[in-house]
Amino acid sequence: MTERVLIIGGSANDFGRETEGDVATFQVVDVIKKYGHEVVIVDDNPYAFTTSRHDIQVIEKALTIDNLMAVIAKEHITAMVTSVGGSTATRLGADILKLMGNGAPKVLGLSLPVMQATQNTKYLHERLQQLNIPTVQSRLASNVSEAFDAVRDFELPVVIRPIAPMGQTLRLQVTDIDDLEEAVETGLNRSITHQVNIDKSIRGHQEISMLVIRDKRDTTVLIGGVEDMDPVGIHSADSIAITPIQTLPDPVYQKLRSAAFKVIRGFDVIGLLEVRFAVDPKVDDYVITRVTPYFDRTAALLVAATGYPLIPVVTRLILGETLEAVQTPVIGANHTALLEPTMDHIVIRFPIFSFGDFESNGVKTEHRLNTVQKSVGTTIGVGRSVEEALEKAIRAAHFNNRNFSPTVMNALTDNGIIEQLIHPRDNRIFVLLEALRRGYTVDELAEMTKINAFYFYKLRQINKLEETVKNKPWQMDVVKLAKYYGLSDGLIARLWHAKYEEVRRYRWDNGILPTYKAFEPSAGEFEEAANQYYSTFESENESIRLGKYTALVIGAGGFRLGDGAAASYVMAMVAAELQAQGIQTVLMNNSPTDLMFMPQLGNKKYYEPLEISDVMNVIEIEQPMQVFVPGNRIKLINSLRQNGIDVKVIAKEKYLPSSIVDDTSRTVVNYFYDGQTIYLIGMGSQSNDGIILDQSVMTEALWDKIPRPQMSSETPGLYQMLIKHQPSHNDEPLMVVRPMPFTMVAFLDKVTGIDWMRLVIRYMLNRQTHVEQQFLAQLKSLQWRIPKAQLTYWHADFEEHMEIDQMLDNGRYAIGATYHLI
Amino acid sequence: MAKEIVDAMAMQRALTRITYEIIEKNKGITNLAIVGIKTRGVFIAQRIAERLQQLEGATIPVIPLDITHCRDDDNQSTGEKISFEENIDNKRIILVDDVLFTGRTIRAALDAIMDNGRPAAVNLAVLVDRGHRELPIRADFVGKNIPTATSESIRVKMKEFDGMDGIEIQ
Amino acid sequence: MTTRYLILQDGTVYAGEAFGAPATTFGELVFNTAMTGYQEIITNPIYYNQIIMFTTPTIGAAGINHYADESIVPSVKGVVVREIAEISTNRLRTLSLNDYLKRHNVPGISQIDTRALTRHLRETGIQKASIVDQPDDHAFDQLRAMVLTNQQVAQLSTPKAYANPGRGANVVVVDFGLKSGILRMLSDFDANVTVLPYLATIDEVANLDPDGIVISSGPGDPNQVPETALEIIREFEQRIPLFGIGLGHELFAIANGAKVAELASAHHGMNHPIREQITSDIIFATQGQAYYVDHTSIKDTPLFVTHIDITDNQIQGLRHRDYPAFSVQFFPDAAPGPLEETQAFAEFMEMVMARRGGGGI
Repeated sequence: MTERVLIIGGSANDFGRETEGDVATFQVVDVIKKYGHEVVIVDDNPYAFTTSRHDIQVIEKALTIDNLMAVIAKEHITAMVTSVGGSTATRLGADILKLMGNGAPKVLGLSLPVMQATQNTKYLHERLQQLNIPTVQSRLASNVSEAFDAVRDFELPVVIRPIAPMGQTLRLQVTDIDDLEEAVETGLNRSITHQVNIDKSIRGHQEISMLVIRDKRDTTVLIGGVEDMDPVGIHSADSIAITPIQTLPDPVYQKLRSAAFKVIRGFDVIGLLEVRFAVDPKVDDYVITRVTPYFDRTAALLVAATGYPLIPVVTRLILGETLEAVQTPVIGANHTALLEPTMDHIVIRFPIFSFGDFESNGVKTEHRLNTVQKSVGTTIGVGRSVEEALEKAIRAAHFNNRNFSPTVMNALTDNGIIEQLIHPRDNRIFVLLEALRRGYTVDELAEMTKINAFYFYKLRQINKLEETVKNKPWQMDVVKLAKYYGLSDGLIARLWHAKYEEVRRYRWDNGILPTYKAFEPSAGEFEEAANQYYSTFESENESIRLGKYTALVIGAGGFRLGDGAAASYVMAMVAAELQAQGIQTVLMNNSPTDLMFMPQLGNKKYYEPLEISDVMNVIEIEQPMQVFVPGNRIKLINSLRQNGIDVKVIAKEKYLPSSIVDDTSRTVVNYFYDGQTIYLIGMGSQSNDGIILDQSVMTEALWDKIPRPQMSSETPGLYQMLIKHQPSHNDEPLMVVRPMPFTMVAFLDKVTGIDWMRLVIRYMLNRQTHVEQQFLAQLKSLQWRIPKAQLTYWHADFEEHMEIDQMLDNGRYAIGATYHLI
Repeated sequence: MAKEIVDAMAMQRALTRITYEIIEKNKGITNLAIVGIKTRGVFIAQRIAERLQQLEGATIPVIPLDITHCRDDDNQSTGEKISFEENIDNKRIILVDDVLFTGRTIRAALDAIMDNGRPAAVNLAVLVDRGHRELPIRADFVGKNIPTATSESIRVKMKEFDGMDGIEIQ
Repeated sequence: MTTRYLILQDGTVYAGEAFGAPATTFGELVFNTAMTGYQEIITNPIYYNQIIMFTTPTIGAAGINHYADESIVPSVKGVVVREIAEISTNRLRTLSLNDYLKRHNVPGISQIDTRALTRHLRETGIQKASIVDQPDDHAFDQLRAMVLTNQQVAQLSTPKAYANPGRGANVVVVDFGLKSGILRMLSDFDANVTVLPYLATIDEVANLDPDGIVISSGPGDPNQVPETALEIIREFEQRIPLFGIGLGHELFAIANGAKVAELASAHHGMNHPIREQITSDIIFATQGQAYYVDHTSIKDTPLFVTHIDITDNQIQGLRHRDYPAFSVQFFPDAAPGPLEETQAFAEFMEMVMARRGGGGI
């Protein structure tokens, strides 16, 4: 039977919602269509890549229950997918099931209980107890004596929370029995119902995630596990995370694996489920703290790390295939999707914080990490040792953050160190390194931070290594060792007070060259059709030049405030167009959630930091004809050009330049430039609330009146001009033209129905034909797909996440945006 | 309150073991037919037949048998004869039920089988033997022996009928 | 920091960093893809004679723990890995993996491109290898001249019978290089276990009046194991439930007329899907095998196949048609490894209890 499948989108990007949902959605669409079903997507994210597809029905409406119910009725929806739209889609899916009851379209792979358990911790705990799976111990008490009963059973520490609190929510951690009575009384007094909840505290326990999949025959496979370096108490997204799991002994690892299987069975989930554990390292006991039945950053990380084709496999499962029947080209052994991924490398995920961006503009934030997510994005470092992966992850994450500079560390007092060890901040990895440098022992630090001693041994190694490099300049063995453990040419240069280029040459002259290894899920046991690589410095190189005529595309890097998603969108468009032009494409990036690494794009991929040394290493292997770089990477562009590389710049302002904090609105004129002639596309207006694009404001007369500025460069691209108000005869036209911000590029694509960046690439490659020329000549008569639409900056809860309470420049700091038709 | 005493996995294993024992005892599966007593006995019979098929590649006939109104302690007993579609003469019959208790159901089932022909042999397979027999009947293949009080009841849950596998005591 | 070398019989040389004991060692080089359980693996007696290479990049992070010993001393001849972590988990912080190997005179070598070496071994199959101070002609001469014993079982099996008491069913384990996991599992069922040497006679077994018998795992070629073992299998499979594991599985096959041959490339890991034929269920288990039961040789035996590895279609489990006797190629004791196939022990003990009288549990 042909299904009409509704994919519920994830709406705006936000804290904890990068582009991973879009990456998954794109792949889900491909599989569903292959099975002959019809796809309808509801989403209002202007930066979504999937909804720019022309082969599916896209409904651009706000993700509200009313809108979805209307779509379900009007479009005769028979099935829904909620697992690629994050928590929003899961919540909406659950609401639809509750409201429509038996009349609701089925949610592929998921049942109501698991969707509810995702949102409601209490419900999760109840269900887990029914399944006989350990969960956080919790009890209600209405007087001190009942509270003591609970604590006698749980043992300290516990957390006291008043039920229905008057005023702000309150959590009182009790570690000393003498404090219990007072805490309980405080809690009781704050509770309207005069009750407190007593939870056994899991603060300081180790956080582990396991991702499992299951088919309708009840076959289960563990895709992988992720270990957070930081203990419970710091939001998992803000923690440095490592896969495969390093510090769990096998019996504990297997216990968690079996428990994850039990949970996915217990909730009868078909497809994927991420199960989060808190493990008490002292007794190797665990509780389950969370289940996630959708594709999120952990799943994205594991897809990147294992090379396992998770989304295509899982989509087949939710459409009713069995795991045994699913064949995958990536996996050599009998092509079976059942081979449990095994890794022979280490992947470290490093959070990206935006404190630095805020601070450089005088915006005050709270740096301390806690249970509320503060990071906005992620990067990964891949290596064959923890040291190497960590070095590469830091390198990938930290550009533009002055908190990471060594001078800041040197200035820390001893008290400051202790304070920051106990109350970690965004730069804690450097605090840990500094603490080791100042002589704290591993055991002391492990006790103070609840971070496994293993990581301190590894950090100590890094310190030793940097010390060696510093003390022994220009020694081949030292460089060899430094590269083996992931230090960049740039860092070595800094330690030697030399230039990056000198170090690279020295390394080159001494034959210390990177070797690239494939990501594949069998750890080398089977021949695999892999096309993703990472670098290390070992004996065997597996990456050979893709071809004689290739293009290299440098990605936007980790997700950041502002245009993170839009940048990902634009660079994905670049890659897609190169491919459409029949050019073999090599992609390089370091964000596991980025669109560029979806399997549909590119012929070959490198998961690498994007510093000059890393990019040059790839260029030396691939020798591409051109390198496409986002325009904000000015240093990289200059360095590449100095090395004689043909760099194609995807023009970009550093951030949305037209955003305005005040109340005014400005007119924006958008242009396409083919390298010689500049063409008018249309007009819009912009304010701190958003962007409006309206085709009707462009009258015949206006069309001719609007200036066509003279361009100084010959780089084709999208440009715009800002005007205080609509141009009139007397206006002094503002002739300064700047590159169109990526946010605008994405929105303009959606509104006009044209993939403008693809056009830019065609001109950049000089591959335009009369079709393009004709199209540009007739832009005036182009009928926009949406005559009038508004992009609204997403009001991400900065107050909750960053403790900022002041007016922000939305264009610059918005994490995401939504749009709607007017 | 109902308490699960055998989980889905252990129940699966018991069915698997019974299947192996059937092969062992019958020296193969030629000439075998399985009679399942409605309702859950039929599902168990089908699962055993599926397992035999997986292992030996041969299809074993499964004959459903509804003896609701044939038991000697049932006063609505119609006394009507039940007729099978399969010929069971000289077949080796495995009679299957979920729970073996007093033995009266089995006796009724044996009567129904004998009414339909002359099998070479009849063996009894049950998932649970809970004791308290009132007739001289013994199972040849037992999944689980579960000692029970007469006041307790045993409930076998099967995915096909109850949505999940497991054995509960109440 | 001391540089040492891993040399292979085909002339391959890898330079690396020495850890563990500074001794020279010889063995067959095999790779293991397990990501956890390094201590269980290096103490598994099946690796007697072997230098084990871990494909997982770092081992040692969980320290050394008494519960993870599969035999009292490590069985491997050497350890090869990319990185070793110096972690001690004991109270005195004195026993890291490095210390442990030193103490037991097992050399190791780290900073090896294990991925390259794995890909190499994938092509060449098992090779003789040596960890040496200098990769010179002398070292290669010695390596090529080295003959590894085929008497591993004789060297590892207990010389004397011993008891592992319990209050439940009476189980005999015939020791061909037993790993502790098997005894641990039987203890979980409170079995009263007697472990017998591999040369035990039918009379010796019979005199213990066992309710069930386990033919243990162990190292080496099953075709080298003396006939007495096969006689025990043939005798007792008819009388009491019999459970063969690993080498015991291979012996069970041979005893019943099947053929066992050496694999072109050994398989050690825990990520292969194994299908239980009767239910089509997929399970994962730790595997460590260099030999396999030949599929075509099963036809004329009273055995049928119960488990198959679906990545390479190798037999992973067998059962006797007429008797309550079965065997698995993989390690159902889950030490290390996935827990799902520990149910093979539950199955065995259920059979034992059923035949002992009473039936069922």
